[in-house]
Parts: sequence; structure tokens; C-alpha cells
Amino acid sequence: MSSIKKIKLFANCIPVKGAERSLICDLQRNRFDFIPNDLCEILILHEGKSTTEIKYIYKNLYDEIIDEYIDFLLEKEYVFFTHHPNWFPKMGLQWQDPFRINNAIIDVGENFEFEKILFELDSLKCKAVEFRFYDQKAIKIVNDILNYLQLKKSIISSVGFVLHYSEETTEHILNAIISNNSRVAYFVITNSPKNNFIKSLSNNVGYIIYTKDVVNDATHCGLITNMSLVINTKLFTESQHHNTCLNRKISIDKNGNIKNCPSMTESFGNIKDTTLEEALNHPNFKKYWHITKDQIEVCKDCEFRHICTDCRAYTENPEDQYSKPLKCGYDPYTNEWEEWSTNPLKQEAIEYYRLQGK
Amino acid sequence: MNKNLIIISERNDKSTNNVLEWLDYYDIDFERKNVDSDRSDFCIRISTQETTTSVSDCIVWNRRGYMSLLPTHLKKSEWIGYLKKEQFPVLATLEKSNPKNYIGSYVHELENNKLNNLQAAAKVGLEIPKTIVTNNKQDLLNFVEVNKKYITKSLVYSPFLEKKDCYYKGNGTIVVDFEKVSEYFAPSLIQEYIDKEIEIRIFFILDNFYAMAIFSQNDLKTQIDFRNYNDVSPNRCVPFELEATTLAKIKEFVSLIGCNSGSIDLILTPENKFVFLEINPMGQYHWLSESCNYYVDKHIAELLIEKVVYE
Ligand code: SF4
Ligand code: SF4
Repeated sequence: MSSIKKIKLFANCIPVKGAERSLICDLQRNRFDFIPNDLCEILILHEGKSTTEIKYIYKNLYDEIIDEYIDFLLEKEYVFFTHHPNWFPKMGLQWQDPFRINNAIIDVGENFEFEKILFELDSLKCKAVEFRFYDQKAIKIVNDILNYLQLKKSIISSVGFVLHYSEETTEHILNAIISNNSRVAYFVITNSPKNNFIKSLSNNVGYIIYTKDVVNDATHCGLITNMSLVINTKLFTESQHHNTCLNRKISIDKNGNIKNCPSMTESFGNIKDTTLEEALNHPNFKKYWHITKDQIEVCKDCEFRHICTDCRAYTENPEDQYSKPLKCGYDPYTNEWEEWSTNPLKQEAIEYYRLQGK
Repeated sequence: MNKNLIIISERNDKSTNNVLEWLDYYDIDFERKNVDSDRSDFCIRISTQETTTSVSDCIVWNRRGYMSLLPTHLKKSEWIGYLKKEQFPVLATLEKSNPKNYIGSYVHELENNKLNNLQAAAKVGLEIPKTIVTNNKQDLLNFVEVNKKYITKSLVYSPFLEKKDCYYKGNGTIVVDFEKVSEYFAPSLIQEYIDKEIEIRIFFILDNFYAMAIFSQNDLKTQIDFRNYNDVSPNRCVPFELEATTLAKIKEFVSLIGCNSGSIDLILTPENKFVFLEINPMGQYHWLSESCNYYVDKHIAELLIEKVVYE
């Protein structure tokens, strides 16, 4: 045993290198910090060595900077010193899930037969479902859905609703629904007069978001901003192997077409005459499931790639399934977040998807 | 032909539910018998040749609790204390009737004797804290060294106290304040306080051992017992690899006390020694599995399936 302690990252603090800067993703405390790329390199190449060794490797030219870096890492509790670096293995980045489908988006249209859809989702053991409504008068259907789930003791354990603002969407009414139904994960009320976030009354489930965003059809989806970053082990590990939007997802658009997501063009049959099971078994159904951020243009150079979700329905080049999400305004080469919709380079794709003014 | 798989647990145990989801995924049938469910039939036959029971030819995973063998109305009767005592040897016989394929043990959980465990740990060569069990101050003072800290914890059962309008349950470790110790007291276990670099939590089931390091030392609030969780900035919990000699001793220890699943607490001292603290036969592993991304649930399902299919 050498008497000099070696530097070790806590295994749940993982550096991710981007084109111009890097992140340390703290998967345990659900936060991140920006770090310069040269520090990221030190961590990736020289973890397990002593400070003296690291300084020597850099020819003792940067001793002060290295000391500063290490002070920062210690203060944030990203690293520790140990005589036995090999006792502390890296965390495995495997991602596993016992469900063939684990989330669904259902757009509610005119001939919406919720009993049939819920029955099929239940037999697929899909636990999380989001219902999106594009007109008012939705609360009755919301209640019907929740009552049905309760009556059938459904395996669906988390339901979210996206609804238009109306006199039925007051905080009072929604909270009453939430307190009667432990399944309600959230309400998002669009087309609202103002933005507001109502914390859940219990245990973080059942929150309400009022947003001024105008949502009239599925084209609102796919927005990626610095607000939508999620730092946890589940997403980080899933992102190593799978697509972080479409993996294990099934959807029904407002006309009843079964799709990967309602915004996609390819349909795998209509719910009138096709079961979700049949759609799922279609050879093309899973084609996006394995497209990871490491394969997507631009994203593969982005430091946010493992804490950011993806979008395959709207991409900068609609012909290329590895093209960057259209509605992300981040540029990993300049480190700036900009408004995506006014970017001149995106106008062609915006026209292609008919997203003008949305 | 596949053997029957029986899962004994509590209705709301999350880990059980997770394992069952994986069993479902692999399309394996099982029967769940919860301690809080209504009815579990059983039978033990004793003859001159052999003893057979309803579980002797099954694969059993006793995750939590025990099979509920009593009719519901009796569970609420005044006789419950007596009936539970009578039930105990039955549970013990059921467990013993299937030593190879009965995983987990309620009998061990209930009779988890820290004195036996410490002796067994010492016997296989694991370090243990200096320990005394006594009921008088004189012996205690002869044992302690000046300027050292000592702790006390329960011998077998977590302390509990039931009053008309309140209920107290303790489950931790406290530092002994010698000023407050009486001359003559109830039998108590007192141990030298071990300085820690980190704490090691090990969950094991059959031959699978999973270890996690808990960096609790940085934080004053958790210095005595990390069960007093610190939520604001949780202690760092990361995968840990036990070196071969310690792991071998641990394996010898669990086989000596006859435990095939449970969780073990060790301390790594600043001098890099591993000190055995205790074992909990039905310890939780959810936290460990999530923190280290181990997928223990999936592994448990897979090892049960292996037994169901190949035993
Ligand atoms: S692929 Fe894009 S549009 Fe479709 S659900 Fe995902 S984010 Fe929304
Ligand atoms: S460039 Fe890609 S990875 Fe980076 S924030 Fe945008 S969508 Fe996410």
C-alpha cells in the first residue's frame, strides 16, 4: 500500500465531455456543474492517481490550476481521496425495465373509446399514461377515465393530463380530483391566462402547471430547453442505450392511429381494428428505440446529452433519422441557448412540418 | 417439471413488487402469501421415515414477514399473543423442512441474537468492536478505557414501548453517558465506538453479494447511525468492491450462522480495517440497489427462476 492517497470520483458523479465544455452530472443529488474540458480530461484519464502524480504528468506547469480544480471538486463532494482506488468501482450504466411498454401518449379525439384503450394498455402493463385534450369540456372524460381505472384496479399507476384552460380547470376542482385519485401525476393546463405552478399537496405526485402556451394539436410537443434537463440515474443510464423519448413508448393520435408518438407520420394501424399488441409486434415499431444521443448529429458533441430528452418527430433534417431535434435551441459549439423557431437554418424544416406560428 | 414458487412478504413491500414484475416479464408463475393476507393453508406430516411439509418441495423466497396461518378473526382476538407463540415452531419447521430452497428466514429475523452473531463473526476472523454485556456499573467501568467512546444497542429486539396514547419504537445506536448509568440496570450490550472512514452495507442472497460504501463521516449528523438520515445533502453512497479475504470471511460467517439472505453492516476504520457491526436477516436492499444501479430485484428474480426451472 502506498501511503499517498489517490483521487477518486464518487461513482454517481459522472463527467460528460462536450465540444467546448463539460459537465459533472451528480446523479445522486440531481444536479450538475459545468467544468472545463481540461478538468474533464484529468478526471477521465487520471482518476485513481495522486495529486502529485497528476501534476507531474502535466510537467508541473499547471500545479496551481490543478490545486484549484481539486479544491472545487472536494467542496462539491464530487471526489474523495483514498489509499484503495480499486475498492471503488465505477457504477454500472446498465438500464433495464421489466415492461415492454412503460409509457403512452393518448391524444383525445372525437371518437375516443377510452375503455378499449385503457383495457389494452392495462394488458400491456403500461404503467404511465399521458392524455392530451385539444378542446374544452374535458373534465368529464378525465373523471370517467379515473373512475374506470379505479374500478378495474388497473395496473396503470401514473396518469397525466394536458388540458385546455376553462372554468372547469380551477385549482380547486383539479386538486379535488387529485386528492381522490392517487394515480394523477400531474395536470398541465394550456392556453391559460397566466403561468403558474401549483405544488402537489402530498409526496410530489399530483402537481398542476398552468401555462400560457397555446396548444391546439400535437405539434406543440418536442421542445427542448435548459428547463427540461433531468439529472438522475434512470435517464442517464437509459440514454446510454436507448432513445430518451421514444423507447418503450406507444401512442394513439387523435384519429385513433397507433404510432410511436402522435406527431409521427408512420401509423401501425388504427385502434378501431388493430390492437396495441399487434402494432407493437410490427417490425418497424421499435426502430427508434435504440437511437441514442451518442449517434445523433450535434447532440453527440453536447455536454447535456445524457440529461436531456430527445425528439425524433421534429428534426433539423426530416430526411435523416440521426439529425438533431429541431426544437432545441442549444449550440454545443458556442454554448448558447437561442430561440429555435427564429433560427434561419431551421426555417426549411419548420416549413416542412408546418410549424410556422406555433 | 418446474417447481412451485412461493413468495412470502408484506402487501406493500416495494422490493417484492419489483421482483414480481421481473418474474412476470419472464413469464414465471408464483404464489404470493403475504403476512397481511387472509389465508394461507399449510400442513406438516411427521412420520417415522420423514417429515414433509407443504413447502418442502417448493422454492420459497421469504422476503418479509411470515405466512399468515391464523384465521382473521383470531388475529384480532385477545389470544393473539399466545397463538403467535404457538405458531412460531410451525414456521420454524416449515423453514427447516426445505433448507436448500427456502431463501430468507423469518425465524432468523425474529431471533436475531447479536451476541451469537458477534461470536460467529469473531470466530471466522472478522474484527468486531470490544463488547460487554452486563447489568452493573462496576463491571462496565472495569471494561471501559478512559477517553474512549462507547455505544449501546439492543441485544435482539428493537426497543419498543406501548402506552395508552402513544407508541415508542427505537431502532438505533446511542452513545453511553456514564454519568447517567445506574449502579444496577437491565442487561445491556455496550461496545467500543469505532471510528469510521466509511460504512459498508452488504446485501446478500445465496451466493450473490452486493456492497455499497456510505460516506457518513463528513457529516456530523450521521456520525452515530446513518438511519438518522440526512436528507438535505444525502451521504454519498457508491458501489464498493470487497477485497477477497474479507469477502471470504463474510461468506464463512453467514454459512456459520445459517443465513442465506440478509444485510450486513461493516465499518472501514481510518486504519483500513473492516469491523463487523451487525447482520439483519430481512434487511432492505432497495436503497442499496438504486444507489449503485445494481438491479438486485432483477437478479433475485433470475436466481429464483433458475431454482424453479433447474432444481
Ligand atoms: S418524439 Fe418528439 S414529438 Fe414525439 S413525443 Fe417525443 S418529443 Fe414529442
Ligand atoms: S443539442 Fe441535443 S443533447 Fe444538447 S441540449 Fe440540444 S437536444 Fe439536448
